[in-house]
Amino acid sequence: MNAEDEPIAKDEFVLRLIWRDFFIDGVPPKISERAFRPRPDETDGISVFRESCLSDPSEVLNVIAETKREKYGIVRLPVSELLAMGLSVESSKIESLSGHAVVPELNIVALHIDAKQSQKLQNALAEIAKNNVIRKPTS
Amino acid sequence: MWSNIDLELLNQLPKKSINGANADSPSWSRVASVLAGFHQEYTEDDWDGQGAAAISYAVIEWASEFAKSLETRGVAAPLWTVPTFESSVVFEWDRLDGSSIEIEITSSLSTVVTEKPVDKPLQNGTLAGGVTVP
Repeated sequence: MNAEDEPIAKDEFVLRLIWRDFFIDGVPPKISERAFRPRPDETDGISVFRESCLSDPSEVLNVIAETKREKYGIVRLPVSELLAMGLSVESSKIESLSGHAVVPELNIVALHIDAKQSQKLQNALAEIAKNNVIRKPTS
Repeated sequence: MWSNIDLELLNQLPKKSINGANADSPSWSRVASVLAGFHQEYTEDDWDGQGAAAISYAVIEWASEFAKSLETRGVAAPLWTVPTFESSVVFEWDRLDGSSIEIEITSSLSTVVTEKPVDKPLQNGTLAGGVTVP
């Protein structure tokens, strides 16, 4: 396991929580681009978690209220693919879990300034994510 | 409520297929079921366990009536019926040419249409002469 102070390497993977309504089961599943839309308070970028800082991907569920955890899926995104899209991943420590990071380009201010570009990026991430589902929502 | 949906908008939405539906096709009954679930789950703050603001009953009712109206006008059921973190409800359809179209029922009970062409240069905004809010 990596310490979260270590720089984020190109060959790492990041994990993203996907709310169940943004997920349709299938082969491959469908994931809505809305799963990558910044929340109103995400001025610093959407949240991801460095898999290398966790002992198991399901640990990311620990940031969610316990009663809601089964309503989330988890996808794995290669950092190299994010970089290839012109995105970046920056460490953003939180108390509850090691390895929290953000994708700064996908922030709520950028969405309001250029919705077209933000939605294009969200859609591209959804396309990557649908082939990299490691946990489906169970409720 | 939605008797005056703009014809221009209706013409942009995929129509119900007589022969093309299969078990995996979206259905209006599923949309109704999903929206009924929104009443149960999304009308209180923190519905997602990450602090999302509640979606009002009025927005969900508005969306339900809108969905019924589209169904009766022969529109295909949307692929996506989703809550948003801005307290709105979104319907989204994929079209045969690879483009998609989204209709958002906002928290102020207005309707915003977003077209997403194949190459994704999006054109945002409320459709000119679009849906009239009663």
